[in-house]
Amino acid sequence: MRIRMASTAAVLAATLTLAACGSSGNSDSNSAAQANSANGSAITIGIIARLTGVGSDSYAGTKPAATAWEKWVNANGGLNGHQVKVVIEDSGGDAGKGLSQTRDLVENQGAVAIMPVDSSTDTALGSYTTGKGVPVISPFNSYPLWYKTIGWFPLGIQSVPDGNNAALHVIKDSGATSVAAAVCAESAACGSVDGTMRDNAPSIGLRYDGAVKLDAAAPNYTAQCLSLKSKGTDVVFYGASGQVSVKFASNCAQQGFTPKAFFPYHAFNPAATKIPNLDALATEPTVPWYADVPATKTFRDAMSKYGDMSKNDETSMFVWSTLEAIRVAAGKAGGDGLTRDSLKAGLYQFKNENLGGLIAPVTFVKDQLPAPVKCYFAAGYKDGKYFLPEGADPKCLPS
Amino acid sequence: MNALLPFIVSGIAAGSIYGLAGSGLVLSYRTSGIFNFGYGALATTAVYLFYWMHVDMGWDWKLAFALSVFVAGPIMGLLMELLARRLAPQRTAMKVVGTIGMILIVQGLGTVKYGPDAKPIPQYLPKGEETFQLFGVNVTYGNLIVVIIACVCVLALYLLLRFTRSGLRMRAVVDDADLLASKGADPAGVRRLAWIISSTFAALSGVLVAPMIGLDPIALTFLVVQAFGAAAIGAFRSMPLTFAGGIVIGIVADISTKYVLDVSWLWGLPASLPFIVLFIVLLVLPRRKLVRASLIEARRALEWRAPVPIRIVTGVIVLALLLIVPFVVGSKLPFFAQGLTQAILLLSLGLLVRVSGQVSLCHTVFAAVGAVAFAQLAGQYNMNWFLALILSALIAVPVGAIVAIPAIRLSGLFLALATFGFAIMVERLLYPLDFMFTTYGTGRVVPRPSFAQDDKTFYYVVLAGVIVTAAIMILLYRGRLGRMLRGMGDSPVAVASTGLSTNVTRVLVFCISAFFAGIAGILYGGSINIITGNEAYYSSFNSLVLIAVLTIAPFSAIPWYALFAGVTIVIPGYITAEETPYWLNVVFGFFAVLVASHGGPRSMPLGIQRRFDRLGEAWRRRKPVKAPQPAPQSWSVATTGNGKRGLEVRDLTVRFGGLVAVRELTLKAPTGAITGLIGPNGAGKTTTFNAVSGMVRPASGVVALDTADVSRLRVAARARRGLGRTFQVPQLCESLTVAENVALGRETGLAGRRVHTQLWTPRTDRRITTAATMSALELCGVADLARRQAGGLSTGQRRLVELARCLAGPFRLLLLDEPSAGLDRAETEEFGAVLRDVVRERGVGILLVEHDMSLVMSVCSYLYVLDFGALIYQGTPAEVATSDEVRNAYLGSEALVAGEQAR
Repeated sequence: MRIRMASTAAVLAATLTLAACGSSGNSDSNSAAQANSANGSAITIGIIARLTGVGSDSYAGTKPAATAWEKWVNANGGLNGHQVKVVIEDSGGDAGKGLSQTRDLVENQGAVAIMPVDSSTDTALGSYTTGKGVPVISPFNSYPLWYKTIGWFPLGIQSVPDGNNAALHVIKDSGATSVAAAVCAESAACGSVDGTMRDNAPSIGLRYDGAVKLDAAAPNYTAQCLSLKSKGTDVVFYGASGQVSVKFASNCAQQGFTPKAFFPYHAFNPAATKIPNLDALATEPTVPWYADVPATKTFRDAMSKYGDMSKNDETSMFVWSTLEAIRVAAGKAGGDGLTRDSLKAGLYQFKNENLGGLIAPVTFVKDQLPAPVKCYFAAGYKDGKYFLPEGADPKCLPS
Repeated sequence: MNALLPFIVSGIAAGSIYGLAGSGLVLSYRTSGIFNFGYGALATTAVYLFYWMHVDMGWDWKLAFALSVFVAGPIMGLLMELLARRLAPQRTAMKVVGTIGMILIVQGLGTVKYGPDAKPIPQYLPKGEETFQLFGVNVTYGNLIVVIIACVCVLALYLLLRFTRSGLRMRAVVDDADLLASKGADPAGVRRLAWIISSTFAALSGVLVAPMIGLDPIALTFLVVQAFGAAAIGAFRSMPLTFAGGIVIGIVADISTKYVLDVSWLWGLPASLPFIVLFIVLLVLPRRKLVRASLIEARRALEWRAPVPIRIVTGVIVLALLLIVPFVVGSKLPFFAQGLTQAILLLSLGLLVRVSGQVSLCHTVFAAVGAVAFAQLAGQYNMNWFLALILSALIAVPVGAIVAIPAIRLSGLFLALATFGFAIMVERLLYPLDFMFTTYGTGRVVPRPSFAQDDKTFYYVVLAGVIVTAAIMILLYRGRLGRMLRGMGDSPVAVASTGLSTNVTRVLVFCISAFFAGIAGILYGGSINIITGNEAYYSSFNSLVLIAVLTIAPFSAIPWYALFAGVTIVIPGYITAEETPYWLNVVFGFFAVLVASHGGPRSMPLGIQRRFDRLGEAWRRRKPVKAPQPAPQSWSVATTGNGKRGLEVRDLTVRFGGLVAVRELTLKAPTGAITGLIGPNGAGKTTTFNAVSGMVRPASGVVALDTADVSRLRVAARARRGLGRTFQVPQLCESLTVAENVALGRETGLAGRRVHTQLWTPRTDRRITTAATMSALELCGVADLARRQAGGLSTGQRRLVELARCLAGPFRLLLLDEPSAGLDRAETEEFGAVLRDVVRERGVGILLVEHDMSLVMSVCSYLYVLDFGALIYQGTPAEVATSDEVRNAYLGSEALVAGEQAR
């Protein structure tokens, strides 16, 4: 019964594994299309997601993407000769529930890997999963523990401070000179962006105009709009729920203030695009789904055929990328079927692996902490269409 | 100023909503005595209806508006009047919980139908989105219409109250409903009208503000909660001031957004402003302005305590069950650990609410402070786990002391409101700051003890915490502090007048409560590992839920109600369907309302109680009965007065505003004698007593006890110096037994004002108290009533019990205010004999206010006669009886004759 704003997930700390530059080739389709053995037991992969409850809109793309991948992989021979089953549990954003569901997946359903889709359950899973040796994988890495836990496999850039710095770079590259944050009032996590921006914006060449708090219960945000308007802010970094962001943008438009918008991660979802005359930028840890690269084409085809393209959002890409990482690791590990250990062995063979352009290159070394990923993808929306402000390749933070 | 104008304009729209909602709230409070914490639920219901009609069904907005405001509003008003009628005589906790239950029901049902995410509601007012310019701000016509409607409605309400008969009746019904009824007006009808108006205002506020917020039940409820701040500015009485207050809050909040842009630690200021206002206003408003709307409150039922053997057996069984939990529940163990921490939290809250009757709605703040401090001490600085646990809980203690400050001057509903404001203020302003949960979403890590890293061992650590807390609570309850708290919970006036420094008691209980709440917060944090400011457990909303759970939990004895309620946290762990939490809310809210309107949970059925009692006695028969301790030497008071000892009042003047109630009064009441203070009604006798005992501050004059000037001392201090009194309306602790009441007369003085004397009882004190109680009961002839609950006594019996309480204490001077009122002739004569005996045996002095002339003439050795606040005559009864001044002013010939005959 508690408010959890979608944006808390959007702006939480994540860590990024820095990968040496260079790309690796990637087998485009499934490993050798072996006939699936009807008698072989299915490989179970667990996903814990906030499907219901406040802020669950941002994760609506989870199920379609997972279903699409499952059916696509099974139609193409499964993993190492076995069918795959992706089980999605609804944590409702409750950490305790998520932990309990994870235990069930691991102990009763034999899950070989766990993907937490939203960050609310991350910290609760830490000690349990490492104790059981279950790999946890996701490109959305909000808490430091992603980069401090052996056996956790972050596929994306860490939210704070790297993700926020990435945001600043994307904003700077677009030609803006100033940025301010508009964040939800209910959660400290929403406001965490303020510290990073205040510290780093000047060195990147941007003026930081401060942060306004948007209380969901406020009748209007006119005062906040006027405050930023008086400073002449170019870009507003949104750290609030879709509904609140739309309201803020409308209130500001009413006052003749129409800055560019910036959305981090999940916040860049269909709800946000409802803002009239939206001119927006975003950073993602995975390639935007509309980018024109072979890996995304596979994704879109599978979604159209087996999933539901209309429910697609950034989460779909996160889920797809994670499952693809599992598939690629299974291929590297080889053998019959997949266990937790063999999956981890496969993951430890990732050397500058980018899953065919889905993620920035990552490297995992056995028994070592993952190196932070410092690369990201820029996304955008203008004149009613999605576009790629910086192309389909990942950009990296200066070292 | 020009730079501020746009913010002023922008603030008026929100402000007018606060003012509108606040006015409706104040109206219902003034006429029914119920402060509707669930006011927001009414607004939310109207918005749901509007949404369903206008957006779902596509009806025209005018129709949807009319139905949801002018039809649903009055219907809700009628229902609220029914609920309010049931809640009005209940204790504060019940009133609060009854209205909170409504919020849970409405939010639960709405979320079941529409899901928890906010849904936008398009602006429906004509030209609503078009704007015009005003002082540099583009104002929408929608906002303008809202402001106009709000102003018009509040103005109309004000005119209604001031200038119409219905309005007059509404203002009268709270002051004296019976008087109103005697004039032919129906109080219930008047209240109904007031509730209809109030609910319609709520519906109107909700539907007007709906396009701005959307269909968001939590936000909608919350918006109306911000109207509490406006109501505070109106001192919960004045509607125009409330409206103005709302506008001011709206404006100041918007202006502050401009300044906090660059000051990140003040970020939470705009959102917490209404609550800062609420808290501060309640702290500084003069007490006489905070008039309690209703003074009658139902008393708590006498608690039944099971016989000791039954309690022991039950305890063992429950403990055994709790011990085997980890082996039985598998992966659900974390829920049970959390349930146990909730039990600790409820035990600590129970001390405040159930024992001392103080409704505190900020309890989770203590838990948060403890947890955050612990995370830093044990996590960051690697302090020893147990040491950090104790230290961190101690850090929560000063916060408890801070909250105790409003508790000292406020009680009942106003305390609940002040603590509520405090909780939200802290949540919005301080939780997001670095020193609390940090500014990162990562929050803080709460480590477990090194030997209890796994869930099972940690569960046992928490269980140990529960056992220790329960044991301490039971000790406190059965000890001196428990007795003081129960007395104070029923009648702070009574215990203060016998010598208890209630300020110290209040601070003490808040501090103890905060300590254990801190422990609960720490253990909970350890159970979930990482805590953030968003954690539901530490939220202000959870404080409300805790009060509701605590209030409706069955079992009155520590620790059963806490264990029972704590375990309810486990339920969502087992039922995992999507809509379950929402339905649980509905059910819980429903029971909250139901139980609250009945005044509390049902006590164990009498049949079962008797069975347990019989079992207990059967066991007890096997044990030899201990012989009672011999009474210690009974103390004897000051030796017979030599005229210098006793009470002396010099030139006492008491003013109330422009009225002089007592004018330069000088009198003496020596020990060893009974002095009378007589005069017509309104002469100022009770006021004199109030000034002498310290309840009223005189404008000038000196009060001296045994030649020492006590004018500067407070009530309790004067009592400890030897001044006891009874009251015109007997101030008894209604839910305690007669014996417990009388014992307070002695024990409160022993508790005094030192912390250690309030906490525990030296062995000799126990014997002194028991002896004093028994002797006082016998002296007043009420020994046979010892086990009866005080609230069930007749007036005459109450007066005797109050006298007995006075006699139990070591008072040398007793102020008795009309002690024979309600006694018949024979009883009065007996009473007179008691007074003479007391004076003779103990050498005390009595200053007696009486209307019964035969009693006065027969027991008093000297009389003072007051009229219109001034002393008009003094002398022996014989002199007074024959004085012309007295006769003219007061006595009349019949009374004189009666006096003569009595001699």
